[in-house]
Amino acid sequence: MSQKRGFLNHIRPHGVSEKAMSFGYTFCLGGVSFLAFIVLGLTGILLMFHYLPGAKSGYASVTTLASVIPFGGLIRNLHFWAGQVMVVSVSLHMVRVVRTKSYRPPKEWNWLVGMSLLVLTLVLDFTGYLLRGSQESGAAAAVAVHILTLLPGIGRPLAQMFLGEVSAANSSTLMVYVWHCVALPFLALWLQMFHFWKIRKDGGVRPL
Amino acid sequence: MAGIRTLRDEDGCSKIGVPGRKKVLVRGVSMKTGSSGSERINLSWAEREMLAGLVFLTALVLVSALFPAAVGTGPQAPLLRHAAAPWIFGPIQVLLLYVPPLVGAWLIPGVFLIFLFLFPWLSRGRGARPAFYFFVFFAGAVLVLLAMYVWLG
Ligand code: HEM
Repeated sequence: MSQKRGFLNHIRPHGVSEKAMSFGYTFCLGGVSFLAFIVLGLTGILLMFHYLPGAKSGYASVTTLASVIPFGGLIRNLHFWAGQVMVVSVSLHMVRVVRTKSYRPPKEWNWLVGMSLLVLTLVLDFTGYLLRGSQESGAAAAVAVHILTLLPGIGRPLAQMFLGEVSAANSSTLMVYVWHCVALPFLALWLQMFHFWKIRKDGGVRPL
Repeated sequence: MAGIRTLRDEDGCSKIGVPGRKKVLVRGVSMKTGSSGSERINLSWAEREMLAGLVFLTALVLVSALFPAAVGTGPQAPLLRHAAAPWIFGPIQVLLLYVPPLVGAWLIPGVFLIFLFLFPWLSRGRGARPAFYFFVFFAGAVLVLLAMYVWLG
């Protein structure tokens, strides 16, 4: 294989500095976050074949997935654990960036992209929890609506816009479903591609 | 160390780095070094990343096979009296035990978030040290609140 051609070499540099590749510099945390995101995307699509949002159908389809569908339980567990790992790895990745002072110019703009990804990751985790449709999810939905409506004036419209008709009795609404399965993942994917492009633009992962 | 080659920067990133300076690079393609008999294979970055990825995926599959995710309490079951937030929002739930909702759910998390977004700018020049201490303080507070959340159930 030619060293300059080939798909991998096209999207990534021909050579990467030894420091950037050393485990103790990045602890693979950005890479782990991205890999967890890919696992989430793939298992998420598989879950969508069976999941049906709705007051009763949400929870019912989750229990069917967990106990009846062949490998449904494993796929769901993978989706769940990859989600938990991603929250932890993204947070620790941020701590790593602070430790190595990699937020300094010209990397401060990529820090903003990263922060947006952190917020998105948290919101994705939360909306996923709502889709479970359990009573606990209902309680979480009710608390979220309550917290949003605390904001004078804009609170109620915000809650309407982002959570729709969720309530303690039904957290698995079509709106939460579309946010969780389509809108937020696509936004996160796009931001991650931008994050990676910006890393190279900023001179690659290397001590400043 | 295996895998180290001294090359000129060929990755097209040198515009911002130090142009033309020699760097220690890990190649994109693995190669053999040393004379026959004592040959070593230097893993490329792509191979190293794939190995790390395989280790991660194996661990994830193991955990998923051993520890099923909870399904929670069904809507048909008797009504719950007490419900905990998902653990990632545990710190906010603990805060709400002690401070009014607007402060615990908006003010404190909001200040923390704005601080984080602005961190690179706040930590310029003389602000570097205080900003860093604030970061450590906030991160520590989140950990303490998480521990309290686990402790209180
Ligand atoms: C979905 C979430 C994220 C993914 C998938 C991701 C992925 C990555 C990857 C693969 C790298 C290369 C180096 C490494 O692995 O550490 C990186 C670097 C970087 N990330 Fe992230 N990241 C995410 C979130 C964040 C967050 C939350 C921040 C900070 C608030 C951030 C800021 C940065 C910065 C500044 C760099 C450049 C570091 C350097 O040059 O040393 N990222 N990211």
